[in-house]
Amino acid sequence: MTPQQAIDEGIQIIYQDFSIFPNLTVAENIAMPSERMDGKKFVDWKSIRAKAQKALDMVNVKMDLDALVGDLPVADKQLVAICRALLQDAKLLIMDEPTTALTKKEVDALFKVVRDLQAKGITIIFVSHKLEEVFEICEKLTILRSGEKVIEGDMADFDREKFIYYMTGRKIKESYYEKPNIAGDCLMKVDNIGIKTLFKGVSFELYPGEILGITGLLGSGRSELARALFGLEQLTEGKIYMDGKEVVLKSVTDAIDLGIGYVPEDRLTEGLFLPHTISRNIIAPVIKRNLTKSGMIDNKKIEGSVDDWIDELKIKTPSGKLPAQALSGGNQQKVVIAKWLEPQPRVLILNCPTVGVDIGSKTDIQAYARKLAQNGMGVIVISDDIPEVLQTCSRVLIMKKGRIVEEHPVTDLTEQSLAAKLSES
Amino acid sequence: MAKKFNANDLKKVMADDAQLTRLFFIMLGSFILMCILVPDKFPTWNNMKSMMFQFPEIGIFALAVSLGMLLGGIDLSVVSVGNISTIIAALLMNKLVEGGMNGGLAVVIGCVVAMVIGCICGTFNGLLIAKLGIPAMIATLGAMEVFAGLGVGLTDGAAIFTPEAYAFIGAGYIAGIPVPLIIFLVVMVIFTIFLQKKTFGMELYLVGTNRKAARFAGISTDMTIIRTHMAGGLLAAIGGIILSSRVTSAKASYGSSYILQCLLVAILGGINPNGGFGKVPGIVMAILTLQFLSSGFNMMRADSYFKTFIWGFVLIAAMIINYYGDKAAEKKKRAAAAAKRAAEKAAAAAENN
Repeated sequence: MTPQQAIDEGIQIIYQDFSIFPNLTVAENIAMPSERMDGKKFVDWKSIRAKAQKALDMVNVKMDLDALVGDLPVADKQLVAICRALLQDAKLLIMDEPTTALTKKEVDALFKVVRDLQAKGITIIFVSHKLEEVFEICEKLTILRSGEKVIEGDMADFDREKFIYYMTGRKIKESYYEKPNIAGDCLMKVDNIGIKTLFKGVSFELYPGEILGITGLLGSGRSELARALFGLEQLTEGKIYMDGKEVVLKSVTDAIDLGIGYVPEDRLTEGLFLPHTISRNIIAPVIKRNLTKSGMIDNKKIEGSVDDWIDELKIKTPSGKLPAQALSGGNQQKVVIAKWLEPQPRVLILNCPTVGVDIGSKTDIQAYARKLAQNGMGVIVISDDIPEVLQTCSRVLIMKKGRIVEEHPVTDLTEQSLAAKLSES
Repeated sequence: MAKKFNANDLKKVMADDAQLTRLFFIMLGSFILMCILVPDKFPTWNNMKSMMFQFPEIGIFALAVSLGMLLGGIDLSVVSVGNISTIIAALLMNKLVEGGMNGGLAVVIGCVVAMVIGCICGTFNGLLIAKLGIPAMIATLGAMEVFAGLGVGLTDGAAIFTPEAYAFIGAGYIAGIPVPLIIFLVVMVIFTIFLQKKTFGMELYLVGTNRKAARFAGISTDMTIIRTHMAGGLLAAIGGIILSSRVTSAKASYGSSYILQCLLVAILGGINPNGGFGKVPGIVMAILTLQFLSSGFNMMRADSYFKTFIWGFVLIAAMIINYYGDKAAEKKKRAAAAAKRAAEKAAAAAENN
């Protein structure tokens, strides 16, 4: 089956990243594919606008037809994608994690649209890992794990516990991570830091043994903060102290030398050299520490430390000479983590460390983060995966619109309370 | 303790670098083919000697182009850089010799100046690419025209004849070995070491694969790009020195057909145009293959167009061989993995019983 055949059969998918054209207007985005379907050879602006308006009316939304889609808020982009699908006579609408970047209010609005569509006779497949949403909107449920169907049935037959059990394949102990009793002075202190309008007035301290969670929705400034802590962005205000001494992070090299490691958000574009060997990937930040006396690259030494990492992190590979792209997502992520442990950091920043990672590797990675902290490292986990934050971190900062708005010891939080705090605007 | 030669080591090398191994056989094949087709002229010392004077300059230019390609870009300006550096050097050498300086000393000064100018031109390219973010193809295309124009401006388009002593570089022998070949070998050895064994090379390969990930790994991507193009400029000047010395003059329009040939050599040599992969020995084998073929067909009095044809043909043939070779290797690997899985399953089943 080709995408065109699927469309002809009335199947429409709203992808996680919406696959819209940010450089085109709302009207163009909504109506173009349908114009194409009608086999028109010339652009008919009148019909494009009329169609777009009709689609927007179908979902009861008002929007400027001439606005560039790239300038719209995420929720509106999503509505554009939905409208586009409707115009193509969708009978089956597949929504892939549609609520990832939405606030609670926007989710409610979306659900209203979904129910309207349902009333109009459109079938909807709602792909999500968010338990509350699934219980709220769905009538039937199929759970997939590691590429296999685990169970299916009516929503009424499921409760929370059963859902989690089938999702993860095990009874998850909802335990908290407690900071071990490690004596030690503050590792990293940031004081009122900010970058222009991206984030502002951020202050916190990080002690050895601690796992500090920073959570916030997409666009809350959490990623920019992470990048600034690793010298990838320059601060415009505030100060950073390592071991009580003020430091300036002008570049990644400065951050590495000061003992900061950073596992980036997107391992494919930021973390890995996909076609290169695992060992080159792991060694990339510290090539200069792996030279022989005559300044040549010391392959024996590299091989030794790479093999150690493969054992230590249980990376599933026959050897370090395989290209990183041969590994599964979870094992690739372990390679990225090894890459950032090899320089022996004292502060490790994990930015969304388990996105797109299978459940087994996810558990491994979270357990390993705990182990690192227990051995005295300061770990910062930036994530919007609420269960992950609760199970990995000992203290949680909530970030909104570029500011840290709340701080809680993890023991004061539950999934519900944290979710509520995140979506309050 | 000397390492004993081991057949298993050889097998491993061959498996690790299937493409280079195939290229080796293509090179060997074309040599044997020519020995059979022109048995009286091709396998002679005279022919070998004349070939040794011919391929080094294109080989070195091709390496310069390849450095740009390893970054995921390209360097189209190499021949122009070679010409402009030797034009300036030739003007200078002539002045020095006229002023009564010893010819040999003037040549040494001239060569150093040419190489410095090459480095400067390369750095200019690197700055355009790294700091202004201009795509390498466009930056070096512009630079190619700028340097060619400068060369014409300096010479009115005429050839500048070089001092007598200069001809030694392009036509002389040291211990019976042609000087261009010696230069070629030294350059190739140095660059093999730099690319395979030094931080510079590893960073170059990584930046060429994924610039963003390289930056996230603390590699100074701008410096890597600038340094690589500087090295490319240096190589371009060295290629230009051999070329101008062989014809005892420097001119803005020399080697105008070289740049596409260099590209062909680089790609045949296994330099990945997407960046990040490719080795010096590949370039050496590619240039040798093409030299064997063009010399051989030349002896058969083939039309000069035939050389162009056969070079293109070899490139396409090599790509096809690589395509099927990689596919076969993939299949073998998959079969081995499947067999291993089956064996594991059987073992597990046996254990359960």
